[in-house]
Amino acid sequence: MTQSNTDPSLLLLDNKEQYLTLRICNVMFGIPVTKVRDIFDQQKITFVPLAAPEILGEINLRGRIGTAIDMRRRLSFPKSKDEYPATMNIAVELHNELYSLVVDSVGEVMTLLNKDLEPLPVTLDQEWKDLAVGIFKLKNELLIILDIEKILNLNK
Amino acid sequence: MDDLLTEFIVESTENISQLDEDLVVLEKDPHNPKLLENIFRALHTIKGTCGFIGMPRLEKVAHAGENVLGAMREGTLIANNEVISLILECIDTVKMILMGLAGNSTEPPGDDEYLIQRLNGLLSVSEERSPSIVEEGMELSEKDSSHDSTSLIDENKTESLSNNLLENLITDQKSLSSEEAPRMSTQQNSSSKQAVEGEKDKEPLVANQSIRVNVSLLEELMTMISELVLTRNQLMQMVRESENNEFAVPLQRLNYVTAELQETVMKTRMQPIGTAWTKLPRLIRDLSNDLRKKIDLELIGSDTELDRQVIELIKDPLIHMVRNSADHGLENPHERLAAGKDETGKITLNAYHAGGHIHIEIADDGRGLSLQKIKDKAIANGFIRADAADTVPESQIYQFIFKAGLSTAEKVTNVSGRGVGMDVVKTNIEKIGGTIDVKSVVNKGTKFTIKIPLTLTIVSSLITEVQGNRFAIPQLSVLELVKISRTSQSKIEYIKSHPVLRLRKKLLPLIFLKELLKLEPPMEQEDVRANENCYIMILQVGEDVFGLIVDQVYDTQEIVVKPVSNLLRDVPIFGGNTILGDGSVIMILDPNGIAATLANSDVLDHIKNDFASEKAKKKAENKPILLIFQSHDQAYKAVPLLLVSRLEKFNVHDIEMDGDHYRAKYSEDLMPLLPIHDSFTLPSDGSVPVLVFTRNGQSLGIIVSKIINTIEESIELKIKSDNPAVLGSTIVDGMSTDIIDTEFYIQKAQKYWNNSLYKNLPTIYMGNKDFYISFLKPSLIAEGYNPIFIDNNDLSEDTLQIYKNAPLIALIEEDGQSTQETLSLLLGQDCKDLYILKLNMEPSSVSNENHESAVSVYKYDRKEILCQLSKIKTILNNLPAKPDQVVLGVPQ
Repeated sequence: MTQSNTDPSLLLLDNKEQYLTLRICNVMFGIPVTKVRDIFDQQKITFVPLAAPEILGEINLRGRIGTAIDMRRRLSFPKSKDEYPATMNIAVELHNELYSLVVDSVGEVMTLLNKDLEPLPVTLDQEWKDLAVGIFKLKNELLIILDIEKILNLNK
Repeated sequence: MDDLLTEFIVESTENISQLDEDLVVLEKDPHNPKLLENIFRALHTIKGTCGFIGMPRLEKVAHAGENVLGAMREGTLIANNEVISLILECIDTVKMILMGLAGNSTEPPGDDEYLIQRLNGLLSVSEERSPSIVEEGMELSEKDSSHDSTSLIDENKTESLSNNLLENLITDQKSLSSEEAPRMSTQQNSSSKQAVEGEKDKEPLVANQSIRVNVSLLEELMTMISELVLTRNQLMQMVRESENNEFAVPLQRLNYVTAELQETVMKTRMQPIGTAWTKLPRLIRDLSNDLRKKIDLELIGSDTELDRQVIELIKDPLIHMVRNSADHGLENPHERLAAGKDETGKITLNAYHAGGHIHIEIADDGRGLSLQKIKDKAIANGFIRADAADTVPESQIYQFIFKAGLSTAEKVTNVSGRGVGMDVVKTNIEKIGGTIDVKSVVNKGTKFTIKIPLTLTIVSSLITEVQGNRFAIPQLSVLELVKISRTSQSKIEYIKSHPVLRLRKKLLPLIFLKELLKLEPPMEQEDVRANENCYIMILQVGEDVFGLIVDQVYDTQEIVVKPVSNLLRDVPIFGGNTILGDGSVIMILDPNGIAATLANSDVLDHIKNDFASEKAKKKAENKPILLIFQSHDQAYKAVPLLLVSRLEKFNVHDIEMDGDHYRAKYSEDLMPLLPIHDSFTLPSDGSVPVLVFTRNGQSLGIIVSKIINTIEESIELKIKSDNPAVLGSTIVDGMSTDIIDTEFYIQKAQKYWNNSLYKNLPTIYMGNKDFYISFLKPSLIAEGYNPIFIDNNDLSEDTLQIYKNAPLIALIEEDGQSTQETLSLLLGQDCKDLYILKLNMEPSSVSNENHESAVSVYKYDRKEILCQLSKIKTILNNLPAKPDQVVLGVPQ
């Protein structure tokens, strides 16, 4: 239900949208805050054998079971399991199922104008192009906005 | 409008389902005004409402039905079999239209004119005849009795000629039917007549106190309760760890309330099993009409409650089983009378709680399952071997009825008997974690017992660990646990690289869970795997039993199964997941998924194949089967089983002395009996075991002391014997055993046989000497051949010189290809009539094709060898006699 009012709103240039910023390997990403259900500190994750490599395992999110997605792996960052810093879980809900995006850290919530969202540069990695919707040019750095639905679709 | 329609459909469907039941009761008790009123009102409501929301087809049908019921209410029409059948048909049509409505919100097209006409026809009959009830009664009863369904009602009408009798009968019938009414109704708790009446009066009150709640709302409530329970468990664990916690007391209270809440919410999901039984009275009524059987249905414990999800799942299997009982279980009335039973068959359904499970029994007092029929079918279908059938225990034989394709019904009726069904019933019940069992006594009846869990959402599971990961596995599928350690008796053994476990003489395939879950690569080093301490969980999935090797087994826990995430759906090994008391998530292993994965990866097949190849290997070694028996001097002796025609037991009184030997009548002939040992004296009583040998239609019996068993063993004569009756000794099963020379006994018996068929024909054999002596020679000599053994090494022109220019039969072992070539070469062009019979190691490679002059026969198939030889003999005999062609020679 959240998805129906965010995606079209991206096209309405006068509208504002709030984004939660997060960092993975020192790159800043953003996701629409409307999709975020909860943010958790590091949690115990139950490893699930035979699952896709991006799946870290199952996680208890306030009594509900969510699937933890390794965002580093999902975004094809180099494998560095041993040097994981303290991680954060961003709980998102999609089609009545809970997921937890496991990221390095979570930043602030920014309110940005839709008209400032710029298309992805053509030189961007194809993997990222498939998962992102656009880029905001902030003062100091770039903010890549991710498409949650595509992130959670591991088959593509 | 949509809401209105939905409500109408829900309400009408509910009313209608009650009607089925009421009508069946009404048929037995046509004068029950309350029942009539109920039925009339239900149909009237439907008619009224559909007129209101505009459904002409439904209205017409309901109206016609209502008219007939109206006439019955006024007493101008009496409920008999015909009338009730027509009304039931009318209700079926209403149901059909309602289903169509539920499907696409409009009435399904169709014409009910025929039905309506017949319904109206009933009315006109009743109107015409109503002035003279007596006449009607007589005519109807005459018609009905010719129709062969003499129901109580018809009798009743006939009896209406006499007022006295009528009254008696009505009272009789009332007491009978009011006994039946509570049985039929789902409200079982009252058995007395008054209680039934009272209940009917109370009904509207109860109805006002209940509200309709959407099922999904209840599901949601249930899920939330599960969460609450889990959170409570977490809290409890935390509090338990810290001493003197101030939360202890309020938590105690929370614990109590949560438990109560859980129980109450569980109750909302519970439904009396009677709701799954509502269709049965009608079903039985229809069946008893169709099958011309009298059937009583008794429903006990209809108020036993269980999860509605479970009820939905067992509904169809139950109907199927009741149908089976009525069709196959119960006999025809005349059969029942002949068997000394009451004409009316009885089917009893009994539901009750026991040990956290619901037990449902479906019993009939019919003919019972025929053990022999099932056995025959099972053999015909290849489920068991014919010779093993007698050793299979009864309970196991009965289990065969749950196999696909096995029906013991001789003819397929429109009701059942197609051999599909019971297997589906079993699968459905097993799917919800239930079991089904069957007991049967011939002529007393059959009883099926279904055991199912109360609810599907909470499952008792074993927590296990492998490689530091914990997994839960439903306890129901775990048969037992075996602990493996250095000191334990049970050991993991290997066939090739597949682990197996010997468990009470059964060989179970094993799977390492860590390998299955790819937690670690498969290890080829068997020692490494075997040395570890581990546990084996013996799992049963359908027919397959296998062991799952895990590192550790913890306690059992009641867990709430939650479906796994979409992202993990493609991993069939997991049936769900849950949160444990400590807050951690645990994956639940699905035994079905594991078995399916195994079937795909062919591990089980590999194991089976390995077994098969081991067996094949044994076969390839071509060990003949030896019959081991005991001589009268207690010594063990053996004879190739193929030489023995039969094993018999003769009663000593049937054995007579004829001069110097014993004889007995055997298949229309007198057979000489020779004791295996001279010390034999005929016992005064009992029987003696006899090995029967047959040659050319003549039989010989050898009396032995005791037949021990048969064993596959290669015959290698270790020690030659001086005893002419013994070929030599060999080691069989670790014991020195004499192999008897059947030839000696046959020679001995020759003089007792009427005419000797001993004839000499040139036959040479090249190959294994032991085989020749123990098997070939006696067979050939008995048939009148004069076999000659030639050692392969002796094969030279000189040895064969004498066979030149003569017809010759050569028996050559399959692998003696070079022998055959040498033979042809040595004999050269001079031998025109060389017949070669190849002896094969394997029965499968036998070919009767005649390539050139060589015929192949299985080495141990005595009959076939002799058959082929006699063919050759016939050819030889038909040749013009040339005296110089017969060359004989017997080497010493």
